[in-house]
Amino acid sequence: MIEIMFSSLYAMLTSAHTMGLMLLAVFFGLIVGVTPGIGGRLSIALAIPFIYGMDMIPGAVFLLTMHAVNGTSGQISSIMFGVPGDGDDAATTLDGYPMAKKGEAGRALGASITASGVGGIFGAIVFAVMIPILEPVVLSFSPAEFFLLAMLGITFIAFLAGGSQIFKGIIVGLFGMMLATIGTDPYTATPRFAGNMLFLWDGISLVTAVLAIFAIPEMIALAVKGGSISAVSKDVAKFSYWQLFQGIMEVPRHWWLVIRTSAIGALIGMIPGLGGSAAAWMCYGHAVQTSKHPERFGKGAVEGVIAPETASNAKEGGSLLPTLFFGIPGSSGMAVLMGAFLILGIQPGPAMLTKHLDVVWTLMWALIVGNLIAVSFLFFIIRWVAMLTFVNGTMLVPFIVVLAVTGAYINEGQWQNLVILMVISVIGYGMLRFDWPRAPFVIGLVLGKISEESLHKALGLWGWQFFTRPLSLVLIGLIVTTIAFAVYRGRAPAPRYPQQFGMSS
Amino acid sequence: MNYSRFVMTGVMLTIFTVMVSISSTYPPGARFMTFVIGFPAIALCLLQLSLDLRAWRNAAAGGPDGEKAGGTRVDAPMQMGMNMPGLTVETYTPEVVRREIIVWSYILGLVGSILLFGFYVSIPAFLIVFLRFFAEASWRFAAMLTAAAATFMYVLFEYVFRMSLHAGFVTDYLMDFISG
Repeated sequence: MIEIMFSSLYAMLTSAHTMGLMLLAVFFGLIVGVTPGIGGRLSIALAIPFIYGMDMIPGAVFLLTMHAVNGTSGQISSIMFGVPGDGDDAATTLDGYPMAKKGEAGRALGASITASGVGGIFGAIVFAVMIPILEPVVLSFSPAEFFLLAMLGITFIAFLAGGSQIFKGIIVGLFGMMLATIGTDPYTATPRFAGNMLFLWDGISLVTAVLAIFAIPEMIALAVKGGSISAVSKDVAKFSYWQLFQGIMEVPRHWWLVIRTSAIGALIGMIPGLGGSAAAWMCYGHAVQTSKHPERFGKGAVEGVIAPETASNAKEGGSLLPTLFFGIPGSSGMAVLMGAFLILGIQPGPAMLTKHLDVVWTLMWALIVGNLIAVSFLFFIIRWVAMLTFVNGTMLVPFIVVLAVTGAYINEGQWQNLVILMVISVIGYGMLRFDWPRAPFVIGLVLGKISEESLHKALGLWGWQFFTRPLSLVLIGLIVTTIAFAVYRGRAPAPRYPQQFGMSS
Repeated sequence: MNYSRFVMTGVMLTIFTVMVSISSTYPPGARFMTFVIGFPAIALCLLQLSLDLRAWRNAAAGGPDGEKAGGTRVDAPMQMGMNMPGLTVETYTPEVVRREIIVWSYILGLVGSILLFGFYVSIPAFLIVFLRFFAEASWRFAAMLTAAAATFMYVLFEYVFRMSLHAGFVTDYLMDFISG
């Protein structure tokens, strides 16, 4: 294993193609990350059509690096303008923005970028340490468990949507699974829901569906909202390089907090349904609770910037574990990433440990190297990158729509995909408009075929008895517990974190 | 009365019901998975419909779910990762609906135009019209951005990827007609 681990690093670093793609991913990841409203999921969805024909490793490195780097640059707009790039960055805003208002934007940025980079690397190390521990567990899973894992994955992602949304999330996940049945049935060769439309015999294009569910609805929402993305004056965007250096030094000064929040972040990332913003908020809360001066939080405490940033990037390494080995994405971003991995031929499951261990290690190294490149890059270009926040949102919309429409066409070269894009976009926009979660759809679509195969295999091997296997019973118990907890959480009064920490929302 | 909370549940229920009905005509092996997914989904849609109905009644009576009647309530930060903060359309004023219709028209127009006239005609036309009239950029700025994007796209697909994009169903007829 050690040999594969280091040969993967050597192969990655010596491949001009892979390193070139990684640099490109860092560049686009930074640009997308810093622009609020264009989240990590959307950037991956837009990049998927362009990875067609790529080899497995360069394609996966490109996408994972872009995903990881999104988080590293997302805090820039949170700190400088009080506009979080996405949910993960919202916790950073609580202390980052007050620091910027006090004229300490450089210090906050230096601390957050360094903390983010360190967290990303720590998460990758946790991922590496967990591989040999998880190996026997993953290899003991049979088709029966993989079918139930698919169900568990949908339940977890539905849970991410919030307690009151659990049923909507599961319905959306099942909708994705239902669409995955379109095309030729693998057992009877019956063209399901396809009739004489030959282009549907291979099923719905995953790329088209992902673009339709995320890209088009989000661009319509952005265009409808209109105006500049940042509502804050450009005058706030002041910082100096000396302050940036001071901020970098804050991370070693708070090394114990960094280690604790990195570990918590990586662990939270491993638990599907708790990933996403939870890591950042929990670690922010942890920093407040363990501080000798909790009254400083919310007014510009540097620990309030370090803790959430370390955690939100450390969780990426952790969330790769359930994504790659069990096919359960740890977050909605990982859900889209998993869809892209399948297109590249990376099938989550035990094969990752038996056949594609080199891919696993390369992805771990990609997290480390990508973060190092992004952090070094950011220190130099941060001042200019931050200005992207002032771009008028409606100016971005037509270009991203064109990219999405072109992407939907080029992945299979079929004009019919444009029609499918529009049909699913209407449903996707309906979900966004009426507050239905969309991430479970991707999981359902991605896991639909896998779960159908697993179900048929499990029934062939054990009949309906497979539900009574010990591991199956554990997974069924987990599904039921998740739903019950989500229903309970939905009925309980909703926590409002910013108020909890003395901040207005 | 605000019936919007029922819309998506109704759409989902219809989709599942239609798909299950269609698949009931397939051989047992082919319809097995659609039934495994479809029947629980229909049951969940009906459950969701009953929850929607209860929330709607509470909203009408000014109960605890009243605030949800008009839009989205972000309960916890975990939810913020699911929808873009600040970008979810929360209140649907006539102005918002008007803008939605306009943006949808642009996008449907783009796709329709691509099918008829192909990518290389439709995309520059869409970009310049959208930038000028919706984003309210100046003609000069819109033209510059359009020219840059169209050139980049042409070079990327024709020379880098060596990929031919859809030329349009009527482009050839039009070209023949123009050239006489």
